[in-house]
Amino acid sequence: MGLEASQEEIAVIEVVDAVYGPNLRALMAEGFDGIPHELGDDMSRPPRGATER
Amino acid sequence: MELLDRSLRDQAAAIAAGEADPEEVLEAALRRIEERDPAVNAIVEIFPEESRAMLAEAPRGPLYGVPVAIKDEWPLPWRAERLGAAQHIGPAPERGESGPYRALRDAGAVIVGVANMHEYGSGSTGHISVFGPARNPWDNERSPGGSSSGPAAAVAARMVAGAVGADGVGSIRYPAAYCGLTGLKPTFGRSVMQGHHLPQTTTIVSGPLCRDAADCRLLGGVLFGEVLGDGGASEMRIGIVPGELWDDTQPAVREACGRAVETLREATGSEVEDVNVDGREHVLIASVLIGQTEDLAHVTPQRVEALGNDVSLIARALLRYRMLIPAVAIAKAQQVRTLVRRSLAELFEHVDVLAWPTVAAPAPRLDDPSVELPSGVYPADYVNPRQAGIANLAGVPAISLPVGLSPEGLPVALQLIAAWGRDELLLDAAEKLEQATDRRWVDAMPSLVSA
Repeated sequence: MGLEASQEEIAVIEVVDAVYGPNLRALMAEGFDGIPHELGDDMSRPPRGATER
Repeated sequence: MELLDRSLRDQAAAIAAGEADPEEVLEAALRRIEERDPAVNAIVEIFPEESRAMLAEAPRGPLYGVPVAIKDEWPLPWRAERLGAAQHIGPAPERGESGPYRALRDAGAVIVGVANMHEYGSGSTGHISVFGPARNPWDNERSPGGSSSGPAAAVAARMVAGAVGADGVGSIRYPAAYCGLTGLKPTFGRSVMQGHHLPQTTTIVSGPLCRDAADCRLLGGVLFGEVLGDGGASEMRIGIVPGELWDDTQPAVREACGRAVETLREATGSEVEDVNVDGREHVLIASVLIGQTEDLAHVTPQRVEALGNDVSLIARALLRYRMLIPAVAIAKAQQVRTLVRRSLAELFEHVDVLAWPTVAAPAPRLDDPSVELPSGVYPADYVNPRQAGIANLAGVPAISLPVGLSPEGLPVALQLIAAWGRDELLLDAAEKLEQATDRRWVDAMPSLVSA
Protein backbone atom coordinates (compact mmCIF):
# COMPACT_ATOMS: atom_id res chain seq x y z
CA MET A 1 0.00 0.00 0.00
CA GLY A 2 3.04 2.20 0.19
CA LEU A 3 2.12 3.52 3.60
CA GLU A 4 5.14 4.37 5.68
CA ALA A 5 5.27 4.31 9.45
CA SER A 6 7.84 5.50 11.96
CA GLN A 7 9.35 3.16 14.55
CA GLU A 8 7.22 4.87 17.19
CA GLU A 9 4.06 4.30 15.15
CA ILE A 10 4.98 0.68 14.53
CA ALA A 11 5.52 0.19 18.26
CA VAL A 12 2.01 1.55 18.95
CA ILE A 13 0.54 -0.66 16.23
CA GLU A 14 2.19 -3.69 17.84
CA VAL A 15 0.69 -2.81 21.22
CA VAL A 16 -2.76 -2.29 19.68
CA ASP A 17 -2.48 -5.59 17.84
CA ALA A 18 -1.45 -7.38 21.01
CA VAL A 19 -4.56 -6.03 22.77
CA TYR A 20 -7.16 -6.50 20.02
CA GLY A 21 -5.44 -9.31 18.08
CA PRO A 22 -6.97 -12.23 20.04
CA ASN A 23 -10.50 -10.86 19.50
CA LEU A 24 -9.77 -10.24 15.83
CA ARG A 25 -8.39 -13.73 15.32
CA ALA A 26 -11.36 -15.28 17.14
CA LEU A 27 -13.67 -13.38 14.83
CA MET A 28 -11.70 -14.46 11.76
CA ALA A 29 -12.02 -18.08 12.83
CA GLU A 30 -15.81 -17.95 12.65
CA GLY A 31 -17.49 -19.31 9.55
CA PHE A 32 -20.86 -17.79 10.42
CA ASP A 33 -22.61 -20.47 8.37
CA GLY A 34 -26.36 -20.44 8.54
CA ILE A 35 -26.83 -16.79 9.40
CA PRO A 36 -29.13 -15.31 6.78
CA HIS A 37 -28.12 -11.94 5.43
CA GLU A 38 -30.24 -9.05 6.55
CA LEU A 39 -31.87 -7.59 3.49
CA GLY A 40 -32.45 -3.86 3.29
CA ASP A 41 -31.01 -3.44 6.76
CA ASP A 42 -32.28 -0.41 8.62
CA MET A 43 -30.66 0.20 11.99
CA SER A 44 -33.63 2.23 13.19
CA ARG A 45 -35.86 -0.84 13.19
CA PRO A 46 -35.69 -4.51 14.10
CA PRO A 47 -34.52 -6.80 11.30
CA ARG A 48 -37.03 -8.25 8.93
CA GLY A 49 -37.73 -11.96 9.28
CA ALA A 50 -35.17 -14.38 7.93
CA THR A 51 -37.56 -15.70 5.29
CA GLU A 52 -38.89 -12.32 4.24
CA ARG A 53 -37.75 -11.10 0.83
CA MET B 1 -29.45 27.59 45.10
CA GLU B 2 -28.44 29.48 41.98
CA LEU B 3 -30.49 28.87 38.86
CA LEU B 4 -27.48 27.28 37.11
CA ASP B 5 -27.40 24.62 39.83
CA ARG B 6 -30.98 23.64 39.12
CA SER B 7 -32.16 21.17 36.51
CA LEU B 8 -32.54 21.96 32.84
CA ARG B 9 -36.34 21.83 33.18
CA ASP B 10 -36.30 24.07 36.26
CA GLN B 11 -34.19 26.62 34.41
CA ALA B 12 -36.58 26.51 31.45
CA ALA B 13 -39.63 26.81 33.73
CA ALA B 14 -38.17 29.71 35.73
CA ILE B 15 -37.36 31.67 32.58
CA ALA B 16 -40.74 30.87 30.99
CA ALA B 17 -42.53 32.03 34.15
CA GLY B 18 -40.62 35.28 34.18
CA GLU B 19 -38.91 34.38 37.45
CA ALA B 20 -35.48 34.56 35.84
CA ASP B 21 -34.07 36.95 33.25
CA PRO B 22 -32.54 34.92 30.40
CA GLU B 23 -29.92 37.60 29.73
CA GLU B 24 -28.76 37.37 33.34
CA VAL B 25 -28.77 33.57 33.13
CA LEU B 26 -26.57 33.68 30.04
CA GLU B 27 -24.08 36.07 31.63
CA ALA B 28 -24.02 33.92 34.77
CA ALA B 29 -23.33 30.82 32.67
CA LEU B 30 -20.44 32.57 30.90
CA ARG B 31 -19.02 33.68 34.25
CA ARG B 32 -19.34 30.17 35.63
CA ILE B 33 -17.51 28.70 32.63
CA GLU B 34 -14.72 31.22 33.17
CA GLU B 35 -14.59 30.30 36.85
CA ARG B 36 -14.86 26.49 36.70
CA ASP B 37 -13.59 25.42 33.31
CA PRO B 38 -9.86 25.76 34.06
CA ALA B 39 -10.20 22.80 36.46
CA VAL B 40 -11.91 20.48 33.95
CA ASN B 41 -11.19 21.81 30.43
CA ALA B 42 -14.69 20.89 29.31
CA ILE B 43 -15.48 23.93 27.18
CA VAL B 44 -12.98 24.59 24.41
CA GLU B 45 -14.56 27.71 22.99
CA ILE B 46 -17.07 30.30 24.04
CA PHE B 47 -18.54 32.96 21.73
CA PRO B 48 -20.47 35.45 23.87
CA GLU B 49 -21.58 37.60 20.95
CA GLU B 50 -23.07 34.67 19.06
CA SER B 51 -24.68 33.37 22.26
CA ARG B 52 -26.23 36.76 22.93
CA ALA B 53 -27.45 36.91 19.34
CA MET B 54 -29.00 33.44 19.72
CA LEU B 55 -30.84 34.62 22.81
CA ALA B 56 -31.99 37.83 21.15
CA GLU B 57 -33.58 35.84 18.35
CA ALA B 58 -34.70 32.85 20.40
CA PRO B 59 -38.28 31.65 19.98
CA ARG B 60 -40.34 30.84 23.09
CA GLY B 61 -39.67 27.14 22.74
CA PRO B 62 -39.27 24.46 25.44
CA LEU B 63 -35.68 25.54 26.19
CA TYR B 64 -36.15 29.29 25.78
CA GLY B 65 -33.16 31.11 27.23
CA VAL B 66 -31.53 28.01 28.71
CA PRO B 67 -27.73 27.73 28.32
CA VAL B 68 -26.47 24.46 26.82
CA ALA B 69 -23.21 23.13 25.38
CA ILE B 70 -22.59 21.13 22.23
CA LYS B 71 -19.82 18.64 21.46
CA ASP B 72 -17.06 19.66 19.04
CA GLU B 73 -18.59 17.29 16.50
CA TRP B 74 -21.07 19.51 14.67
CA PRO B 75 -20.72 22.69 12.71
CA LEU B 76 -22.28 25.89 13.96
CA PRO B 77 -23.01 28.87 11.72
CA TRP B 78 -19.98 30.64 13.18
CA ARG B 79 -17.65 27.71 13.75
CA ALA B 80 -16.64 24.49 11.96
CA GLU B 81 -16.19 21.41 14.09
CA ARG B 82 -12.65 20.27 14.94
CA LEU B 83 -13.35 16.81 16.41
CA GLY B 84 -10.81 17.48 19.13
CA ALA B 85 -8.08 17.18 16.52
CA ALA B 86 -5.40 19.43 15.09
CA GLN B 87 -5.96 18.36 11.49
CA HIS B 88 -8.79 16.88 9.49
CA ILE B 89 -8.40 13.85 7.31
CA GLY B 90 -10.30 14.51 4.13
CA PRO B 91 -12.41 17.48 3.13
CA ALA B 92 -12.08 20.45 5.45
CA PRO B 93 -15.15 20.99 7.60
CA GLU B 94 -17.23 24.08 7.07
CA ARG B 95 -19.36 26.28 9.25
CA GLY B 96 -23.06 25.63 8.94
CA GLU B 97 -26.38 24.85 10.52
CA SER B 98 -26.14 21.27 11.76
CA GLY B 99 -29.22 19.36 12.84
CA PRO B 100 -28.46 19.67 16.56
CA TYR B 101 -27.79 23.40 16.17
CA ARG B 102 -31.15 23.93 14.43
CA ALA B 103 -32.98 21.81 17.00
CA LEU B 104 -31.48 23.78 19.88
CA ARG B 105 -32.06 27.13 18.18
CA ASP B 106 -35.67 26.29 17.32
CA ALA B 107 -36.27 25.22 20.92
CA GLY B 108 -35.03 28.62 22.10
CA ALA B 109 -31.86 27.26 23.73
CA VAL B 110 -28.66 29.30 23.89
CA ILE B 111 -25.42 27.54 22.97
CA VAL B 112 -22.83 28.95 25.37
CA GLY B 113 -19.88 26.82 24.41
CA VAL B 114 -18.40 24.04 22.34
CA ALA B 115 -17.37 21.08 24.45
CA ASN B 116 -14.16 19.08 24.30
CA MET B 117 -13.99 15.55 22.89
CA HIS B 118 -11.55 12.70 22.46
CA GLU B 119 -9.45 13.24 19.34
CA TYR B 120 -11.45 12.19 16.23
CA GLY B 121 -13.97 10.57 18.59
CA SER B 122 -11.84 7.46 18.69
CA GLY B 123 -11.46 6.90 22.41
CA SER B 124 -13.59 6.37 25.50
CA THR B 125 -11.46 8.34 27.95
CA GLY B 126 -11.11 11.91 26.67
CA HIS B 127 -7.47 12.03 27.68
CA ILE B 128 -6.33 12.90 24.16
CA SER B 129 -7.49 16.09 22.48
CA VAL B 130 -5.84 18.95 20.67
CA PHE B 131 -7.35 21.14 23.39
CA GLY B 132 -5.79 19.04 26.14
CA PRO B 133 -7.57 16.39 28.19
CA ALA B 134 -10.97 17.08 29.66
CA ARG B 135 -11.03 16.28 33.38
CA ASN B 136 -13.57 14.61 35.62
CA PRO B 137 -15.24 16.97 38.14
CA TRP B 138 -15.37 14.11 40.65
CA ASP B 139 -11.57 13.90 40.59
CA ASN B 140 -9.77 16.00 38.05
CA GLU B 141 -6.92 13.52 37.81
CA ARG B 142 -9.47 11.07 36.39
CA SER B 143 -10.96 10.59 32.95
CA PRO B 144 -14.38 12.12 32.31
CA GLY B 145 -15.00 9.44 29.69
CA GLY B 146 -15.22 9.89 25.96
CA SER B 147 -15.56 10.63 23.33
CA SER B 148 -18.17 13.13 24.66
CA SER B 149 -15.74 14.13 27.40
CA GLY B 150 -16.47 17.86 27.44
CA PRO B 151 -20.27 17.64 27.42
CA ALA B 152 -20.17 15.35 30.46
CA ALA B 153 -17.58 17.36 32.38
CA ALA B 154 -19.48 20.60 31.68
CA VAL B 155 -22.78 19.19 32.98
CA ALA B 156 -21.21 17.49 35.99
CA ALA B 157 -19.42 20.72 36.91
CA ARG B 158 -22.79 22.55 36.71
CA MET B 159 -21.60 24.91 33.98
CA VAL B 160 -24.68 23.90 31.98
CA ALA B 161 -27.54 21.56 32.88
CA GLY B 162 -27.63 19.88 29.50
CA ALA B 163 -25.26 19.15 26.65
CA VAL B 164 -25.47 17.44 23.30
CA GLY B 165 -23.09 14.55 22.78
CA ALA B 166 -22.75 11.81 20.20
CA ASP B 167 -22.59 8.05 20.62
CA GLY B 168 -21.01 5.75 18.02
CA VAL B 169 -19.51 3.08 20.30
CA GLY B 170 -20.77 4.22 23.70
CA SER B 171 -19.51 7.80 23.50
CA ILE B 172 -22.43 9.28 25.46
CA ARG B 173 -22.78 6.45 27.96
CA TYR B 174 -19.13 6.16 29.10
CA PRO B 175 -18.86 9.87 30.01
CA ALA B 176 -22.28 9.76 31.64
CA ALA B 177 -21.11 6.79 33.72
CA TYR B 178 -17.75 8.26 34.69
CA CYS B 179 -19.24 11.66 35.59
CA GLY B 180 -22.36 10.48 37.47
CA LEU B 181 -24.80 11.72 34.83
CA THR B 182 -27.70 10.31 32.87
CA GLY B 183 -26.98 9.85 29.18
CA LEU B 184 -29.33 8.60 26.49
CA LYS B 185 -28.13 6.90 23.32
CA PRO B 186 -31.27 7.13 21.19
CA THR B 187 -32.56 4.58 18.73
CA PHE B 188 -30.53 4.94 15.54
CA GLY B 189 -31.98 7.61 13.28
CA ARG B 190 -34.38 9.05 15.84
CA SER B 191 -32.30 12.10 16.80
CA VAL B 192 -31.04 14.81 14.46
CA MET B 193 -27.74 14.18 12.71
CA GLN B 194 -27.76 16.53 9.71
CA GLY B 195 -24.41 18.15 9.10
CA HIS B 196 -22.40 15.41 10.81
CA HIS B 197 -19.05 14.73 9.18
CA LEU B 198 -20.04 11.07 8.69
CA PRO B 199 -23.42 11.29 6.97
CA GLN B 200 -23.13 7.64 6.01
CA THR B 201 -22.84 6.43 9.61
CA THR B 202 -24.83 3.40 10.68
CA THR B 203 -23.81 3.66 14.34
CA ILE B 204 -23.60 7.28 15.53
CA VAL B 205 -26.49 9.20 17.05
CA SER B 206 -26.78 12.56 18.77
CA GLY B 207 -28.11 12.45 22.30
CA PRO B 208 -28.47 14.28 25.59
CA LEU B 209 -26.19 14.29 28.64
CA CYS B 210 -27.96 15.69 31.69
CA ARG B 211 -28.13 15.14 35.42
CA ASP B 212 -31.31 13.06 35.40
CA ALA B 213 -33.78 11.30 33.16
CA ALA B 214 -36.40 14.09 33.12
CA ASP B 215 -33.81 16.49 31.74
CA CYS B 216 -32.75 13.88 29.17
CA ARG B 217 -36.42 13.58 28.23
CA LEU B 218 -36.60 17.34 27.65
CA LEU B 219 -33.33 17.74 25.74
CA GLY B 220 -33.81 14.39 23.98
CA GLY B 221 -37.25 15.51 22.84
CA VAL B 222 -35.69 18.61 21.30
CA LEU B 223 -33.18 16.45 19.42
CA PHE B 224 -35.91 14.01 18.38
CA GLY B 225 -38.25 16.80 17.32
CA GLU B 226 -41.09 15.36 19.36
CA VAL B 227 -42.34 15.33 22.92
CA LEU B 228 -41.18 12.15 24.64
CA GLY B 229 -44.16 10.88 26.58
CA ASP B 230 -44.91 8.06 28.94
CA GLY B 231 -43.02 4.85 28.22
CA GLY B 232 -44.94 2.64 30.62
CA ALA B 233 -42.16 1.29 32.83
CA SER B 234 -44.20 -0.94 35.08
CA GLU B 235 -44.48 -4.71 35.42
CA MET B 236 -41.49 -5.04 33.13
CA ARG B 237 -39.51 -8.10 32.27
CA ILE B 238 -35.89 -7.26 32.99
CA GLY B 239 -33.30 -9.41 31.24
CA ILE B 240 -29.95 -10.13 32.84
CA VAL B 241 -27.18 -11.60 30.68
CA PRO B 242 -25.03 -13.75 32.97
CA GLY B 243 -21.30 -13.87 32.31
CA GLU B 244 -18.56 -11.34 31.77
CA LEU B 245 -20.86 -8.32 31.39
CA TRP B 246 -21.50 -8.70 35.12
CA ASP B 247 -18.78 -11.00 36.41
CA ASP B 248 -15.78 -9.26 34.85
CA THR B 249 -16.50 -5.95 36.55
CA GLN B 250 -15.11 -4.45 39.73
CA PRO B 251 -16.94 -5.67 42.85
CA ALA B 252 -18.29 -2.21 43.72
CA VAL B 253 -19.71 -1.87 40.22
CA ARG B 254 -21.27 -5.33 40.27
CA GLU B 255 -22.80 -4.83 43.71
CA ALA B 256 -24.22 -1.34 43.05
CA CYS B 257 -25.68 -2.37 39.71
CA GLY B 258 -27.12 -5.56 41.21
CA ARG B 259 -28.79 -3.53 43.96
CA ALA B 260 -30.13 -1.09 41.39
CA VAL B 261 -31.72 -3.86 39.32
CA GLU B 262 -33.34 -5.28 42.43
CA THR B 263 -34.61 -1.81 43.41
CA LEU B 264 -35.99 -1.27 39.90
CA ARG B 265 -37.69 -4.66 40.03
CA GLU B 266 -39.36 -3.85 43.33
CA ALA B 267 -40.30 -0.31 42.36
CA THR B 268 -41.94 -1.33 39.10
CA GLY B 269 -43.41 -4.69 40.04
CA SER B 270 -41.17 -6.28 37.45
CA GLU B 271 -39.63 -9.71 37.01
CA VAL B 272 -35.97 -10.46 36.42
CA GLU B 273 -34.82 -13.36 34.30
CA ASP B 274 -31.57 -14.62 32.83
CA VAL B 275 -31.30 -14.31 29.06
CA ASN B 276 -28.60 -14.66 26.41
CA VAL B 277 -27.66 -12.60 23.36
CA ASP B 278 -26.23 -14.59 20.47
CA GLY B 279 -22.90 -13.34 19.17
CA ARG B 280 -22.11 -11.27 22.25
CA GLU B 281 -18.62 -12.80 22.51
CA HIS B 282 -17.78 -10.85 19.32
CA VAL B 283 -19.58 -7.61 20.18
CA LEU B 284 -16.39 -5.91 21.41
CA ILE B 285 -14.37 -6.41 18.25
CA ALA B 286 -17.34 -6.07 15.87
CA SER B 287 -18.46 -2.74 17.31
CA VAL B 288 -14.90 -1.40 17.20
CA LEU B 289 -14.33 -2.63 13.64
CA ILE B 290 -17.55 -1.14 12.33
CA GLY B 291 -17.44 2.02 14.41
CA GLN B 292 -13.82 2.79 13.64
CA THR B 293 -13.90 2.11 9.91
CA GLU B 294 -16.98 4.09 8.87
CA ASP B 295 -14.83 7.12 8.17
CA LEU B 296 -12.08 5.41 6.17
CA ALA B 297 -13.35 6.32 2.71
CA HIS B 298 -11.59 9.67 2.96
CA VAL B 299 -8.34 8.17 4.20
CA THR B 300 -5.43 7.81 1.79
CA PRO B 301 -1.79 6.90 2.50
CA GLN B 302 -0.81 10.41 1.45
CA ARG B 303 -3.26 12.05 3.83
CA VAL B 304 -2.17 9.85 6.73
CA GLU B 305 1.50 10.49 6.07
CA ALA B 306 0.80 14.22 5.88
CA LEU B 307 -0.46 14.32 9.46
CA GLY B 308 1.96 16.21 11.64
CA ASN B 309 3.07 15.73 15.19
CA ASP B 310 0.22 17.91 16.40
CA VAL B 311 -1.95 14.85 15.77
CA SER B 312 -1.36 12.32 18.53
CA LEU B 313 1.00 9.41 17.97
CA ILE B 314 -1.79 6.98 18.81
CA ALA B 315 -4.12 8.50 16.20
CA ARG B 316 -1.43 8.36 13.54
CA ALA B 317 -0.65 4.75 14.42
CA LEU B 318 -4.32 3.72 14.65
CA LEU B 319 -5.07 5.18 11.23
CA ARG B 320 -2.31 3.04 9.77
CA TYR B 321 -3.54 -0.02 11.66
CA ARG B 322 -7.08 0.51 10.39
CA MET B 323 -5.86 0.62 6.81
CA LEU B 324 -4.39 -2.82 7.30
CA ILE B 325 -7.55 -4.46 8.68
CA PRO B 326 -8.55 -7.21 6.26
CA ALA B 327 -11.84 -6.77 4.44
CA VAL B 328 -12.93 -10.22 5.63
CA ALA B 329 -12.86 -8.95 9.22
CA ILE B 330 -15.30 -6.17 8.36
CA ALA B 331 -17.54 -8.68 6.56
CA LYS B 332 -17.51 -10.90 9.62
CA ALA B 333 -18.23 -7.95 11.90
CA GLN B 334 -21.31 -7.28 9.77
CA GLN B 335 -22.38 -10.89 10.31
CA VAL B 336 -22.03 -10.38 14.06
CA ARG B 337 -24.25 -7.36 13.65
CA THR B 338 -26.89 -9.43 11.85
CA LEU B 339 -26.68 -12.14 14.48
CA VAL B 340 -26.98 -9.68 17.37
CA ARG B 341 -29.87 -7.78 15.78
CA ARG B 342 -31.83 -10.97 15.20
CA SER B 343 -31.12 -12.20 18.69
CA LEU B 344 -32.19 -8.90 20.26
CA ALA B 345 -35.35 -8.78 18.15
CA GLU B 346 -36.30 -12.21 19.47
CA LEU B 347 -35.36 -11.29 23.05
CA PHE B 348 -37.40 -8.10 23.00
CA GLU B 349 -40.48 -10.14 22.14
CA HIS B 350 -40.57 -11.26 25.76
CA VAL B 351 -38.18 -8.94 27.63
CA ASP B 352 -38.67 -5.18 28.04
CA VAL B 353 -35.20 -4.09 29.07
CA LEU B 354 -31.76 -5.61 29.39
CA ALA B 355 -29.56 -4.46 32.27
CA TRP B 356 -25.85 -4.57 33.00
CA PRO B 357 -23.12 -2.16 34.17
CA THR B 358 -22.39 0.65 31.68
CA VAL B 359 -18.66 0.35 32.35
CA ALA B 360 -16.78 -2.37 34.18
CA ALA B 361 -14.88 0.03 36.44
CA PRO B 362 -15.16 3.66 37.54
CA ALA B 363 -13.23 6.43 35.80
CA PRO B 364 -9.55 5.54 35.27
CA ARG B 365 -6.70 7.94 35.85
CA LEU B 366 -5.88 10.32 33.01
CA ASP B 367 -2.20 9.42 33.22
CA ASP B 368 -2.97 5.69 33.09
CA PRO B 369 -6.38 5.07 31.49
CA SER B 370 -6.48 1.39 32.30
CA VAL B 371 -8.81 -0.58 34.55
CA GLU B 372 -8.23 -3.53 36.82
CA LEU B 373 -10.87 -6.24 36.39
CA PRO B 374 -11.15 -9.78 37.75
CA SER B 375 -9.75 -11.12 34.45
CA GLY B 376 -6.78 -8.72 34.34
CA VAL B 377 -5.68 -5.15 33.70
CA TYR B 378 -6.77 -3.62 30.39
CA PRO B 379 -6.93 -0.29 28.64
CA ALA B 380 -10.38 1.17 29.37
CA ASP B 381 -10.75 1.70 25.62
CA TYR B 382 -10.47 -2.05 25.14
CA VAL B 383 -13.10 -3.24 27.63
CA ASN B 384 -15.63 -0.42 27.34
CA PRO B 385 -17.07 -1.48 23.94
CA ARG B 386 -17.78 -4.92 25.40
CA GLN B 387 -20.34 -3.26 27.68
CA ALA B 388 -21.76 -0.58 25.37
CA GLY B 389 -21.05 -1.52 21.74
CA ILE B 390 -24.09 -3.75 21.31
CA ALA B 391 -26.55 -0.83 21.23
CA ASN B 392 -24.62 0.80 18.37
CA LEU B 393 -24.25 -2.46 16.47
CA ALA B 394 -27.97 -3.14 16.73
CA GLY B 395 -29.36 0.41 16.57
CA VAL B 396 -31.34 0.01 19.79
CA PRO B 397 -31.63 2.73 22.47
CA ALA B 398 -29.66 2.58 25.72
CA ILE B 399 -29.42 4.73 28.80
CA SER B 400 -26.74 5.06 31.46
CA LEU B 401 -27.73 6.27 34.90
CA PRO B 402 -25.81 6.67 38.15
CA VAL B 403 -26.53 4.02 40.77
CA GLY B 404 -23.79 4.38 43.36
CA LEU B 405 -20.32 5.45 44.32
CA SER B 406 -17.19 3.34 44.43
CA PRO B 407 -15.00 3.15 47.54
CA GLU B 408 -12.88 5.93 45.97
CA GLY B 409 -16.00 8.10 45.71
CA LEU B 410 -16.37 7.78 41.95
CA PRO B 411 -19.73 7.28 40.19
CA VAL B 412 -20.93 3.80 39.23
CA ALA B 413 -23.53 3.37 36.49
CA LEU B 414 -26.14 0.95 35.27
CA GLN B 415 -27.07 0.60 31.61
CA LEU B 416 -30.56 -0.26 30.41
CA ILE B 417 -31.20 -1.28 26.81
CA ALA B 418 -34.60 -1.55 25.12
CA ALA B 419 -36.05 -2.40 21.74
CA TRP B 420 -35.95 -0.05 18.76
CA GLY B 421 -38.12 3.02 19.36
CA ARG B 422 -38.62 2.39 23.08
CA ASP B 423 -36.43 5.28 24.23
CA GLU B 424 -39.31 6.53 26.38
CA LEU B 425 -39.40 3.25 28.29
CA LEU B 426 -35.75 3.73 29.24
CA LEU B 427 -36.42 7.27 30.45
CA ASP B 428 -39.37 6.04 32.50
CA ALA B 429 -37.38 3.19 34.00
CA ALA B 430 -34.56 5.57 34.92
CA GLU B 431 -37.04 7.95 36.58
CA LYS B 432 -38.59 5.09 38.56
CA LEU B 433 -35.16 4.10 39.80
CA GLU B 434 -34.34 7.71 40.72
CA GLN B 435 -37.57 7.93 42.72
CA ALA B 436 -37.00 4.59 44.42
CA THR B 437 -33.55 5.73 45.56
CA ASP B 438 -34.77 9.18 46.68
CA ARG B 439 -32.66 10.72 43.88
CA ARG B 440 -29.60 9.95 45.94
CA TRP B 441 -27.30 9.25 43.00
CA VAL B 442 -28.57 11.77 40.44
CA ASP B 443 -28.34 14.53 43.04
CA ALA B 444 -24.89 13.49 44.30
CA MET B 445 -22.47 16.35 43.93
CA PRO B 446 -18.93 16.09 42.53
CA SER B 447 -16.13 17.41 44.70
CA LEU B 448 -15.45 20.28 42.33
CA VAL B 449 -19.01 21.55 42.80
CA SER B 450 -19.44 20.82 46.49
CA ALA B 451 -16.15 22.57 47.20
